[in-house]
Amino acid sequence: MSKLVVTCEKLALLPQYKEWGVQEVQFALKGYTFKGLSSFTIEEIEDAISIAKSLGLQTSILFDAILQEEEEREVKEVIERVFDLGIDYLVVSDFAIMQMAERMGRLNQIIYDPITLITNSMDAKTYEDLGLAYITISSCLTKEEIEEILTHIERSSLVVHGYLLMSVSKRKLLSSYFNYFQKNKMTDKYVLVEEKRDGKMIAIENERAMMIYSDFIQESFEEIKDFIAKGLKRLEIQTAFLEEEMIEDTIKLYRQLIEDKDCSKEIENYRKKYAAYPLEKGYYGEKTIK
Amino acid sequence: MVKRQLNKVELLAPSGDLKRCKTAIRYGADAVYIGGQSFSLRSRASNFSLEEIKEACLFAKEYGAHIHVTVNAIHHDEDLEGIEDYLRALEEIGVTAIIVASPYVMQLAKKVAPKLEVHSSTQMSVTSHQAAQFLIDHFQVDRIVLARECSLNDVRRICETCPKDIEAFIHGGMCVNYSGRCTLSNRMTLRDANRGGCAQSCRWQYHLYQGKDEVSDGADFTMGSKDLCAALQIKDLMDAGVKSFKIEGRMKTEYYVATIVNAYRNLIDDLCNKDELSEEELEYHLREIRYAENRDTASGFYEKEAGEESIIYHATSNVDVNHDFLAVVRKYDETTHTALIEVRNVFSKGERIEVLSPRKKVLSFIVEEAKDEEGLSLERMNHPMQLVEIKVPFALKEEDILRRAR
Repeated sequence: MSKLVVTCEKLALLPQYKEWGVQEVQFALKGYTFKGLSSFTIEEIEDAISIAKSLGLQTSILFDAILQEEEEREVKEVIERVFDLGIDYLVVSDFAIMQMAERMGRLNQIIYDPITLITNSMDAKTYEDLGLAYITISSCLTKEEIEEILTHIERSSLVVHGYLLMSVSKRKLLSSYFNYFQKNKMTDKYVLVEEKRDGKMIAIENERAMMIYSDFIQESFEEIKDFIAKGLKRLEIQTAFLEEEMIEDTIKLYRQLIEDKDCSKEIENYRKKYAAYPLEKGYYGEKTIK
Repeated sequence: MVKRQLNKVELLAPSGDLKRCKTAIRYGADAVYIGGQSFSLRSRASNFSLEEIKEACLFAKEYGAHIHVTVNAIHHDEDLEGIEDYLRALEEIGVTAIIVASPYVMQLAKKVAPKLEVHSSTQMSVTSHQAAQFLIDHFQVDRIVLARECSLNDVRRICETCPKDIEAFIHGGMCVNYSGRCTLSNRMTLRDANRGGCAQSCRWQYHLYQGKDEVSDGADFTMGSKDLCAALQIKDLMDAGVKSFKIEGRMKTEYYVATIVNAYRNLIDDLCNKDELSEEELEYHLREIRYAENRDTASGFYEKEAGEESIIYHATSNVDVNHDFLAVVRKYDETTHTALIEVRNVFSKGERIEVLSPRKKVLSFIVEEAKDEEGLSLERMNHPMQLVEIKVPFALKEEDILRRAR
């Protein structure tokens, strides 16, 4: 059975997530993530995990930063602590964390999500054969390419909805810009617009990096049933920058689609309600060129 | 199987075609990395056929050098067709190593072409010994190419603990984002950054808004990185235990390859042979490296977190052309002190010209006499590829490069 996963923006929403049809909640760990506007301390997550468990929700922690050598000791302690909280999965993008998890006997709890790097079935299968919990397929693929990968692996994950992370720089590019031009940086969230284009891309800076998100919201309403039929097991909704009402409507709609209900009317209503938002099919119908 | 053990450091140069490959080797590269016509990352570099790779291997062998082949695209399923035969062919024709970002290709190479060394690509973002060890344990990689986000301290610790050779970038273009994890080009041009099509959208100009208010002064926000120049860090990197020093730039010109390889060859040799370089010696090497630079440079993350000093905040961040490359020597007659040269860029009688010759210090002379093939005297050499005879007061060798003195 395929499950619906949501990134947690507010801890107070946990009961609603459950009610709306979510099965796994992902918490971004403050200081160790490249994704998500909202991140939480271990203490906050500890409380949230108790609540999630009592609600029957699975939990994962997003620990997707690429670490530097000198952080090794500190990171190892954090990971041990995180696993001790009783989480179900740790979402990572750095082989160093996989190495540590393997030594702790926890490789089967690792979800490998390197954003862009899983683009063919052979690589996906090779990673799966290591014994990882799930492999996250790149969103920069056509529907057919994703389906091909899904037929080769058992434990697949895909971001089906939300703004997509497009780039991560270790350089604090927003701070650098404001320093260079001697301007005041007022926030960690800005919007970039390329001079000859119109797309608005959210740029976020945290303690680790500067990230740029897509100028569109990926949506997969028409594709989900085919993906599930081909074997997609973990469907992730990235809620960063989405409003609460939209999150609720999105989760409920995917829930119904997972249950194989006919949702053509609901999809039409959703699109009308959110017509002002840049909902797109991303790369599903558009193949990148070399 | 006995693997190559690097007892001395390796200078690893880029090359986009056979001519540049031979130039790199002649000018002192211990190894050259090249791309085949498939499976590689720089789709707009010229790239080598298997025949050309074979010729490169034979040429490299004459000089005791090695050929590494990039197989480092982030492949889609369709891209992998024929990979097994390709790996076998690379092994058969004498390629030393492949540079790979795919765990499947790593494992496949070990199975079908075990003589090939497998080097993990910088796209695998290795910034710690734990990450390196994971690749070694699970995919049997023979060499780790470090991410360009490593500090000198990171490099030291990784070298101390990693059982395999470590390769680090020392010069050339830098992705401002983690390599392999950027799809700006994909979105804005549909050109796939991870399959060789990167449009370098990070070097474009952007407006910056806070909410609805523009906070940039027009489109003055950019993310174009200065190039890496680690000339001042090489000694520390050598002391740390880095075995291979990599120059970026498979799409660069023959002149760039000759200049940058010659400069780093001489610098590395000097550092290996002397305890310390004088300020004068160091300045000589830096000056030679600057000849090859066509963007501003910085030391990346080696010394500290790369901040605003690492970004090019002016609209010409993509300028990569200069006119210093004047001619290539085709023949030299020692009795008449006359060189037959093939012109590349305009120069005039009376100009001071420098000679770039493999593994030699740069010499210069003033052009006092020049004639075309009919023997007519020339004041100005302004026809690319024209053959011209000039007087040179010292011996030159075929393929030596003449450049404008700065």
